[in-house]
Amino acid sequence: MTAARIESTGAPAPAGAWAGAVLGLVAGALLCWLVITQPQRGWTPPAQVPVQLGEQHYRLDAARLEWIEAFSRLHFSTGQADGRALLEAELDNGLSSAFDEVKRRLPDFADWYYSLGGEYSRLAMTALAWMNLAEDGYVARRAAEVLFPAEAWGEALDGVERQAIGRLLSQQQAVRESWLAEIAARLAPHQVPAPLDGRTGAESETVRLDTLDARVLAREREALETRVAVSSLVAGGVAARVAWRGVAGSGRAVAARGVGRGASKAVPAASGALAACSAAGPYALGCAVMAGAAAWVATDWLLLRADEAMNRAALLEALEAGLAEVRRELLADMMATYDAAAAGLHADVEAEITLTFRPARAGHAETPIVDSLPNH
Amino acid sequence: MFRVAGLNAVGRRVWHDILCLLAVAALAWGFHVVARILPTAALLLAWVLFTALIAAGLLHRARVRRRAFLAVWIAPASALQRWLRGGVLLALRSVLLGAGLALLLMVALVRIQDPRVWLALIAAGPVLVLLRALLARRLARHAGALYLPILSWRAAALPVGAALTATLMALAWHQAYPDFAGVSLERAVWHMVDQEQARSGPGLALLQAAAAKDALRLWLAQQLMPAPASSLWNLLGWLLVLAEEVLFVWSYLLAGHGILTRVGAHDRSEN
Repeated sequence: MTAARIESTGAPAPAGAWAGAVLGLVAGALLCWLVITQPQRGWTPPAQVPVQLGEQHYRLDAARLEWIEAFSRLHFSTGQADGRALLEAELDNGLSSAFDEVKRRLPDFADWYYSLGGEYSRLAMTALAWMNLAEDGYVARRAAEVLFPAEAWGEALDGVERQAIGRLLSQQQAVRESWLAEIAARLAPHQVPAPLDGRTGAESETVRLDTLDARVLAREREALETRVAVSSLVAGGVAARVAWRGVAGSGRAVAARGVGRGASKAVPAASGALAACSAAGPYALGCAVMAGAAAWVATDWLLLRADEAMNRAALLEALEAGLAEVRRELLADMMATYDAAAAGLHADVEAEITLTFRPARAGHAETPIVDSLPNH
Repeated sequence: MFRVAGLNAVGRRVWHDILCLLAVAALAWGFHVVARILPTAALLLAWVLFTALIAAGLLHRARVRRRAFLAVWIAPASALQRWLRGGVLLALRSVLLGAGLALLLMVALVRIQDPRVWLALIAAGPVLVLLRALLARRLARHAGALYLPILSWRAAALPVGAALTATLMALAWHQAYPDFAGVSLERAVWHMVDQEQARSGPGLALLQAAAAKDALRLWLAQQLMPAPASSLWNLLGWLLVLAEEVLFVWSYLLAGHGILTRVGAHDRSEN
């Protein structure tokens, strides 16, 4: 407008006005360029890591999250140690009950052992084994049949394992619940409303404690699916052999006495039978065989009774000691199996904790940083 | 029709004032750029500066009005002329009002996200100065010499301010807002408040308060309106936006007028 007026006068343009115009236009253009190209400088505060526990959302700084991570590691580690002690006690109690049942069958075995049938079958199997017609260890096999009947023994061990694992799972659930309660109490002052889109942020930026809980639970269940009763002693035959090995080792005389009985009674029985049937004429031989056999059996029975009277208690005692050894070995094998699974579980839980708290380490900013925020 | 010498003087004064208002725009933009990383002490200094600018304009207008009042109502020889000419109380009133408006202006400046708002603010300065020069020439024959600078300023600021407000409203109308439908007020407020970051604690509190106010307005408008653009709440929401924009534009123009009263070509002689 002013310029138009100036032109209408036909006079030269005032230098001051032109200079002002140029300066104003340049300043205005420069300012416009700046506001379009230069973004606002943003302030990034000390890292506040989003945390989610169930439906609740929280914001915590890195130091608090570090404490929670360390607490989680310690809590689960202590819980596993407590769980191991609990499992050992439960297995010990359970095996004690199971072996009490076995001990109650010891008299049955002793009855067989000191019976004529037991005596003759033992002699026969020894002879057959000597001729390589049967396997050694007939007495141990018989002990397995009597002391560790397959179905009852299997059920007993299953029951022991089931009960112990059940208690362990309950204990681990209590460990997780106490962890959740402590974490929730610690997080409560830092609760924030849920974000609009239902997410705290990018998945990689959020510490999902509920996910950690679920993963730990899954790992625990996975680890405890591994049966602890995998020892060879679970098989009744092996257990009986180990028990009988103890008897044979500690009371060799008890086992050897039976073998010597046959030889010691053969001569008197035969001579007595020949003397009694000498008047029987042509039937004397048959009579002698019958009488000899009867005398043999009678003598055998008497000797067995005497042997039982003298050695039954020692046999039972040696068998009980053998069973105690089997029980100790079985418990040790079970705990070794559990320890192997627990070591894997411990490593898995540690890995899950590390994975869960990774956003806290990633978002750990030593100092606030200044960044440029886009205008849009 | 101006003479060449007169034209030169008028042209220089116009461009001088334009440069002054561009300086205000540059100051406001510079504050916008760095406000979030300024410490509290620097923000206080900026507050003092903006308060001084706005209070200068307010005090100038108040003194002119007071002078006119005294000229009409009080005899020149009266002692009341000295008592009522406007001193500390008038300055204090201007400073208090200026401090409040400066705070609103600063918070609004920091929260501007659309660069088109800045282009509108930058353009408003030259337009205002040119329009004022034109109106001052037209009104020179009708208005008193004492009141002419203020009258020309107000006459120019009214349409320019209205246009600026309309522009800001249009930009606000086309701005994308978060969807608060089916969201609790707490979550809406948290969402908006959570977006604000600043180095200064008090500065952050002010920004978050402004964000919470926006969240409340948006939430009310979105939750309570039965049909878009037809409900009372929606209308009230936009009226609130209008009031905010009017306050912002008024504060900005007052800051511009303030610098003109100190270093401007038209108003400095009136102090």
